[in-house]
Amino acid sequence: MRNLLLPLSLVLLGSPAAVAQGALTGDEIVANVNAREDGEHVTRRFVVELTDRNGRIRTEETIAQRRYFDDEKRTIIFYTEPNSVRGTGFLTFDYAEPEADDDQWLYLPALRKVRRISASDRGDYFLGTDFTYEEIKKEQKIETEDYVFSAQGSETVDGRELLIVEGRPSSEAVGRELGISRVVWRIDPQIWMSRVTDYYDQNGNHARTIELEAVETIDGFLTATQMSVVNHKTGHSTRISFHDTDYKADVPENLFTQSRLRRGL
Amino acid sequence: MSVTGEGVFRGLLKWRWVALPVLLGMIAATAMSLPKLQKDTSADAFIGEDQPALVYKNHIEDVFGLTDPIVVAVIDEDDDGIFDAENLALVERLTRSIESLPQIDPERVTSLATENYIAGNAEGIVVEGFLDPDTAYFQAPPGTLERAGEVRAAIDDFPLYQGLLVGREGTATLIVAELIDDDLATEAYNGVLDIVRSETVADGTKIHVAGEGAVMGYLSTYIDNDASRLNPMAGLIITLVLLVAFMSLRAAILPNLIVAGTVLGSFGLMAASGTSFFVITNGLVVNLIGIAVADSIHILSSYYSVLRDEPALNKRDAVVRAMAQMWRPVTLTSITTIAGFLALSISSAMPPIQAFGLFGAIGVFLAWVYSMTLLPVLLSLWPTRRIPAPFARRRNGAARVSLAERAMSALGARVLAAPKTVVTVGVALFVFGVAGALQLQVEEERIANFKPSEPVYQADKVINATTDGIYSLDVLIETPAPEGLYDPELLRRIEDLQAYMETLPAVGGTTSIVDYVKQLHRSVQEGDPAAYTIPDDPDLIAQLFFLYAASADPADFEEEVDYDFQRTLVRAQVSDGRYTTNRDIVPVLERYVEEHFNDELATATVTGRVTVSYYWFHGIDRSTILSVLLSFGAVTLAAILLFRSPVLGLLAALPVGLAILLVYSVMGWSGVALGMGTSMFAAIAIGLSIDFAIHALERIRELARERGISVDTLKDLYPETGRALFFNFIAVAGGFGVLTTSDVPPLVKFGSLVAVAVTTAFLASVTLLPALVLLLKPSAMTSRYREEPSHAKLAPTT
Repeated sequence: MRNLLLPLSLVLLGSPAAVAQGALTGDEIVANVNAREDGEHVTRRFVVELTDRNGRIRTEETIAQRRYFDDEKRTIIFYTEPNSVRGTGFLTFDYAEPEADDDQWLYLPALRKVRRISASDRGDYFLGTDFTYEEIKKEQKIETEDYVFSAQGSETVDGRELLIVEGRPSSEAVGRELGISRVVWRIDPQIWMSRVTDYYDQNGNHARTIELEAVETIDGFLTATQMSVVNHKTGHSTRISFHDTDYKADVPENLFTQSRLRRGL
Repeated sequence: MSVTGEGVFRGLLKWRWVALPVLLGMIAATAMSLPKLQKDTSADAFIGEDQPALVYKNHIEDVFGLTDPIVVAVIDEDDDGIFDAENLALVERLTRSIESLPQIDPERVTSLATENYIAGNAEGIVVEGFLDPDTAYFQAPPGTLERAGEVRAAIDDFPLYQGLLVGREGTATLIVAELIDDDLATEAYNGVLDIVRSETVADGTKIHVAGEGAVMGYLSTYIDNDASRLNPMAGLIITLVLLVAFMSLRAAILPNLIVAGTVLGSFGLMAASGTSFFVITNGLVVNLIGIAVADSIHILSSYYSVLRDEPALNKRDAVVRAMAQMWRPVTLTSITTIAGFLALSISSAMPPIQAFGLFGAIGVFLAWVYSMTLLPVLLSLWPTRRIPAPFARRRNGAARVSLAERAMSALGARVLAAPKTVVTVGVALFVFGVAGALQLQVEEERIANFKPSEPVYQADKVINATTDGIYSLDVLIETPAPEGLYDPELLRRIEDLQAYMETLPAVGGTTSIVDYVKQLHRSVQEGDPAAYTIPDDPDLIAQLFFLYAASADPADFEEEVDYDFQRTLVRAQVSDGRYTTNRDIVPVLERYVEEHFNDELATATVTGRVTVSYYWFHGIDRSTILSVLLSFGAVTLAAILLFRSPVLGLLAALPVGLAILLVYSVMGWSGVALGMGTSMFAAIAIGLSIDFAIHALERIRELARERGISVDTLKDLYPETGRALFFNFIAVAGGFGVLTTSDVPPLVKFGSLVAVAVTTAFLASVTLLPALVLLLKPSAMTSRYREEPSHAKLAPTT
């Protein structure tokens, strides 16, 4: 699907007038978002900063690699900080079909064992952060089958004109799985990423706000390098920042195996 | 009585057209804030904000985000208990509906439909929702008997949820829903009830709603219903008493205006000061009605007697004369009642009782102000001068003698004929009282605020019987440095602590981070039951914690342990909320924790709902005696100062002391425990009871100064003062008697005990006091004020 959409995006990107006039439908805007190239493979460090409602902060650091195997996405993450969990690793196979359960393995260095972990729901929180598995996995993209989109005009934030797209779950089951009743994206047509995204829980309460805090072009790819999310109900928040992002470094296919996980950092 | 008194009231009535709007303006000004009055039905309201137990509980709410929940129980006592398709589907439906209530935090709803099973097998770790539709672990689809069987097996293999999420017998399962805000408890509780009512359940299945959130939510409605019934009823009864006593429209209407001004003013000031209306504040309304009306009864009695005895006086002069006679006793009784209320306020550690005492004192003051000003102004403005039937003279000129007057005179004749017998009976009662009071038990249970027939009461009992208990007892463990909880030695200590807590009475089960560590340790070791242990390697512990954090919601994690792994909570479920049970748990646990923690490894503090309940009532337990002694001392001292005689002051205190003693004795003999409602009665009863003694003594002294102490003199106490005291007694006892029809059990007890006390005090004041005066002939009774020679010229009233 990624490759299919590429020609469409080139057409649309080439007509800024259509964008300015707000002539795009919600589906078209989302198609542009999903058309953004994100590289065959990437290696990077990411730093997770968790803040509880009393302002206490916990920091975790990781090294992560990701590679596409056709439509399947494989990720391996090793924690480097805090020291007590150094070497703890997660290997994940994300299958393209949203209904297919992902596969996930855990490595605990103190035990020197790889254990398979049962799949998480897409709406579950990612490794104790305020981001969901779905958001981490999609990397600023949006699963079109989950939503019914509608364009809601535009809004100027920090001097940028952002396109507002509202999504409502395409079925009750999706709403339940993702734990949402409505999502509002504010998409910057310059980069085709949402700058500010609001999530509303199944009761319609304003649940979370994700902000895109930094975007850089690295190795020719537009890359979100810092983003934060605030959970309005718990007062808990998470900031993830990416460092040393490298789309060129070799990420061999055999990196994404249980035996590699077992070798640790 | 004094000439100066007459002057003041003459002046007041001369300026009555100025005084009237000023007084009405004063009522309006004090009542202005009334609509802002806030209700607070929380249990925490009873504890001073700086009490350590509450500080720690709030601290835990802060750190771990735990709030008071509403607990819904699905109960099925059949053989397969709750583990059948229908019951589990019911849990799923109830959970989803409750999550969608706006007052409930959807992420803080815990049930079989929200929690995960954590286990290990040969392949790896399983973290699966018990009722999730698509899981790899549970084979059968939800809604089938097979799945129910799988869930049962999973729970049997998962010690953490046994007794907590599902009763150990498998007959009950809980849905625990935390409120977004305690102030929304009423709406949340009603919302949950609506959901439960709209469910059709299979035969044999029952749904109960309980928990502190429910108690808070329901109490508010409960109190409103109670108040809207009780207060008009008290007003009605007192109006009836007034009508019977005086047979006069004036006497029925004017005291009600004084009552209205007093009550509106007191509660208006309460609202203006930002003080909440607490559960017990309801009792204050009835209290103030009784007090305000008593002042009026004495003044009206005197006024009608003046009208009858001095037909030549015009209305205005008659009012002045009556006020001159009554200002002193009414002021004296007001001062002593205020002293009683203030003593209650000062001696109590609990904000609701402090407020009760303070605003009670303010109310008594307002009642005094309006009785001294508004009442005479209105009496003088009232268009007629008719003397009501009970005070009128017969055609032959003799005073008409009413039934109450005859009865009081007959009582007087008997008392004065056998004063020694009266005193002997009094002494016997005193001995009986001491013996009974020694049997007094202390007990308090928050759920006992409700009648046993109330659903929330029954829910509490059923849930406590079928699960590990609905009340929580917590121990907060804190380590001096971050990551202190990775220490295997500390975790083993926590494990021992849990084992110890489970030996305490009424403790059903405990949970802590150690249970999770053990469950996870077992999960990563292929589910081997032998690995249900604390690892020896701190790094493995750290990594298991990490695994747990990674597999839970960020806020879930927060409930168990703080960010730096420095603090964690050990929670025990307790199935009995009675103070006497808490008293057997909290102090011994505190001692254990003191011995086994509180070193360089970690400190531990006992807290949680059970501890807070224990301490707040422990406060009453200790302060009751102090509060009673302080109130009693305050009124005695006030009486001594006001009578300027230690002998008269002590005499005035005597009926009060006897009244309190007898009430404790009644409680002791009948097994009524000293609880929140019953502990307050004494201070209130002291303030009210002293009035009878003061009115009686004041009159006896007046008579004795005129004609010396003799049977003949003292007989004159009964027809007028005795009669007024009788109606005063009927009004107050009637007002408090209304409380016995309350739906709130502590108020029922409070009302009956005050009624018993007031009855005793009234009877002692008209029997024991005159009998003692007759026997002892205290010189203070006949001596005149040396410092106020003008008082020598007393206005005779008979």
